[in-house]
Amino acid sequence: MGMAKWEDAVGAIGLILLGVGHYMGLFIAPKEAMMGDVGRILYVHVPVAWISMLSFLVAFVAALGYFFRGTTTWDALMESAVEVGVVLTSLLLALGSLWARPTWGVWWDWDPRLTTAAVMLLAFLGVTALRRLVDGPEQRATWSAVATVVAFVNVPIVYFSVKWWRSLHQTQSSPKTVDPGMVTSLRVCAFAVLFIAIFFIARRWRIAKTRLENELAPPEALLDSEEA
Amino acid sequence: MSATARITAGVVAVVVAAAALGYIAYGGIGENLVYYWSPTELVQAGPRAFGPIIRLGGLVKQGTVEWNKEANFIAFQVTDGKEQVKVENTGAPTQMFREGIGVVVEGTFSTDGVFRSNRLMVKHSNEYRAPQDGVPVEELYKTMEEEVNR
Amino acid sequence: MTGTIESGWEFVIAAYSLTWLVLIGYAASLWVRGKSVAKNGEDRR
Repeated sequence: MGMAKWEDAVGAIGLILLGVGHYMGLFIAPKEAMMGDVGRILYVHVPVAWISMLSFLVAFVAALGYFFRGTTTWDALMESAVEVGVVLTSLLLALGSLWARPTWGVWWDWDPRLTTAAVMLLAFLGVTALRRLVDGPEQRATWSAVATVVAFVNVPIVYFSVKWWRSLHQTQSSPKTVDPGMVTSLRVCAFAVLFIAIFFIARRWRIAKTRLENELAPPEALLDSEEA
Repeated sequence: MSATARITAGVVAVVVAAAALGYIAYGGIGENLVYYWSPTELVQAGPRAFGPIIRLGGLVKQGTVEWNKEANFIAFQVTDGKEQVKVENTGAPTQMFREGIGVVVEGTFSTDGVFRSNRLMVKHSNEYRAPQDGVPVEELYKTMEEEVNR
Repeated sequence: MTGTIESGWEFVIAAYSLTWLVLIGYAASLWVRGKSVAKNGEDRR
């Protein structure tokens, strides 16, 4: 772990972009016509929403990769992407709540978008719990890949929930529905979170791979004192 | 675990996931799980809507807002363009509340035709605009109506 | 009731701060876990 890795550069770019993007979101972008300054939460909430779903997509692809190849590297990538997705989704719900209170008037409501997002978080938390419960690397990998594929069903449901059902949460925005002065800030923040998530997933992937290697091939001298 | 068993598990997982998604997307699950009623649905349901705690969603009708500061109480009509329902809400709404905006209220529909609510949620559209002088209220209204009637 | 939110900076500050807190916190957890895994690996050699 000691030496610099390729993802460090990606993470550093992400960090700089996040600083720039947040500065733009707070001080350069215009207020929103109805939400006023509260509308600036757009630049933290929406990128986290996009990238959390992208992390779960990576986990889904990694699960398929494991089914076909059966290698620890796919299993490790799945473990990593699920965890990063869970962290981002938890942040997403908290940010949404901070936005909901001053705009809607409530911290939370069981509308289709919020409910499906909460279910999505619970489903992937279930995957991480499963990984802790199952002994045996192959069984753990296979069962958590099954769980990841099933949990991934939630991702399109969350995305389309605002189109399929009546909700309190607004439908997806597009560059057409967002003021040009806001789009740039949103893009910078989105790339920032993307780069930071790539850094997180890559780093967590290395940790998971090393752990699996240690688990699969414990040095003989240490077999007696094996604890983890 | 053999490669065959592993791949079989994968195929089963994908088939189950696709079936679940298909069922939710096309199985009409949304018709049974309605987050809020429109004014038209509420009026049509008539006596069947009296009593239980439900949500009503629509636009705040222009010129109908009455605000009773002493009683901390606000009255207005919610419309979907066809029908309207009178709402009496206790408690103050957020600053975004205005005539023409989308709202979801939670409460009970009474036999006197008034929807009494104690939870008022203001709905924002998917539009984010910089403030302008003389905001075209009719334009904002249109986007809300589109949302409510979609 | 103007239809416009006139205040609310506290929610904005809370949201931006929380974002940094969570991202830095997770980065720190990766750093700690990376260290311990590396040390574990060295012990085994």
